[in-house]
Amino acid sequence: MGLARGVAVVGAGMTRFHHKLHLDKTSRDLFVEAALEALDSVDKGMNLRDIEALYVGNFSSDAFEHQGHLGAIMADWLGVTPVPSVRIEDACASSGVAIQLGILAIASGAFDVVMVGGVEKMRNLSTEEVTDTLAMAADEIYEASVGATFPGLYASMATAHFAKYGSTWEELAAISIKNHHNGSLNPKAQFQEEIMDMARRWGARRGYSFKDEMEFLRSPLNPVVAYPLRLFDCCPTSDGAAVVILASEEVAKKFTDTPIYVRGIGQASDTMALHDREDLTTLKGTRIASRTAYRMAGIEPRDVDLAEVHDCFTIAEVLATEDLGFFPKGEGGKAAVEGRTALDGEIPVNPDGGLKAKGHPVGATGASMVYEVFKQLRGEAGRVQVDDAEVGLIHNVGASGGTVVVQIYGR
Amino acid sequence: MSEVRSFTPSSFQAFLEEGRLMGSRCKACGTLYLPPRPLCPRCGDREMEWEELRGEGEVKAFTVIHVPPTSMAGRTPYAVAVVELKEGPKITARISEGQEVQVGTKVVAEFRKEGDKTLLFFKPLGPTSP
Repeated sequence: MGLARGVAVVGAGMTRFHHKLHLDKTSRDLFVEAALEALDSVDKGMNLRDIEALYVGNFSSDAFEHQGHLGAIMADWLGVTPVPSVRIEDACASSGVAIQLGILAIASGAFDVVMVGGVEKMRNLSTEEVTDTLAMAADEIYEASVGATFPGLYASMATAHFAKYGSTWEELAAISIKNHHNGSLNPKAQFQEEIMDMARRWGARRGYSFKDEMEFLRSPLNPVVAYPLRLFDCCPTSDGAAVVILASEEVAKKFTDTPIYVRGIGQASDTMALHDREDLTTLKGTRIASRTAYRMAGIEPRDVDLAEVHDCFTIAEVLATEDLGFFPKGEGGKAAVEGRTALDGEIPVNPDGGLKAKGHPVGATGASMVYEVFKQLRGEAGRVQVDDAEVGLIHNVGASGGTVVVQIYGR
Repeated sequence: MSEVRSFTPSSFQAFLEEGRLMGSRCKACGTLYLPPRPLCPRCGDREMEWEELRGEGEVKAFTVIHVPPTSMAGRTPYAVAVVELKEGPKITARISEGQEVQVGTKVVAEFRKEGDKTLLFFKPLGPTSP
């Protein structure tokens, strides 16, 4: 099983993800900014007239901005009407799915060049309203109304993982420390600061001093959100957009000498409610989507040079690195402690800082992962460049695993 | 059991109001579902029947929520658990206030009125040795 014809990424752009920087902007402003950066990134130039279709990933502009029908709005404000445009909603996997559909549209022969991106404008609501809006991605009747929150669902997976494998919260902390380190080197990241630097800054303000990150992370300055997850186990809420331009293999070289090719794609659904899953310590969707993508690409997990995984919570990165097959079940956290997923480790995970430090404007996240892989495989990733990166994987999850997308890209 | 109610969330809630924890069992393959489902994802059959569960189970995963949704504002911290019933299926519910739980804690269902609605809770019976 494979694609009927080859598909490549020829351009990518993204806004900085941020909690304050974009308060005076709307989703259309952010999407257009990322789209124009993507166009300008095309080596041999590309015109808006080259775009034959537009796919927009977005979770909830309806609730966040009282604005629906995002496909048409973005086509309109980008000036690409009358090309077909569509909005795709699959919770936090919205733009990962949008890219999947863009790839399939090109592979089908219907289009040669499509623009696919994602956007979310979350920060104009209160924290409580954002929490309620995000909870719409869980099972409203059997989870959310019971009082389970998103951090709570992932926290439940953490307690099950701890009990089954003897993993620990300290292992989760190592993931947060690593992702903040990577974010500190990424100019597009929301938090461009090491945890130790934040500890000093926050501590100075409140009269604390910390000898190391762990002392800070165990302190009241890192409060429990949903036991055992604390603030620094959770990704932030963010505003931002990311856009990539896909082209058929036939026309890709017209736009760049170094396209990045789609090698394998996989997508899976799973039960909406966590309690309906046999194993609470694994995302079955990740296992199925990744096995499909590996088979199509003809590679094994060990062939992946870098991975952008969906670390909405630190435990999610543990589950991802296990379920993607990088480490045996139960050893994802230890691998992070040992530096095996660091920038210079055997499989760098989330070189851009991940959702934790780069930020998580939910509908934009999948596209931002492909943006990073595009930069990495072209050797353009700046201070987070992974040496000799030839194969990159993205893993984008909707909610607690009801939707999972995995894509593998190669030079 | 010859209940004729449809296999919907509102029927499930109506049973909770009567103090009953009701699931649906597939007549073809025998799989039991809680919450109840109108068709069997396992074998695809559509013939289901209501079955009452005893409400005894074990905590398989839990959390203690400190940052709540607006509906639970002012009531933190509270524990939420995924409980596996003795009959097999799992469900998400709150743990009765003030009760400590761990993965492995044995629990029993409680039906508590909150506002105008009866909610499913689980009360810990004490920790079990692993």
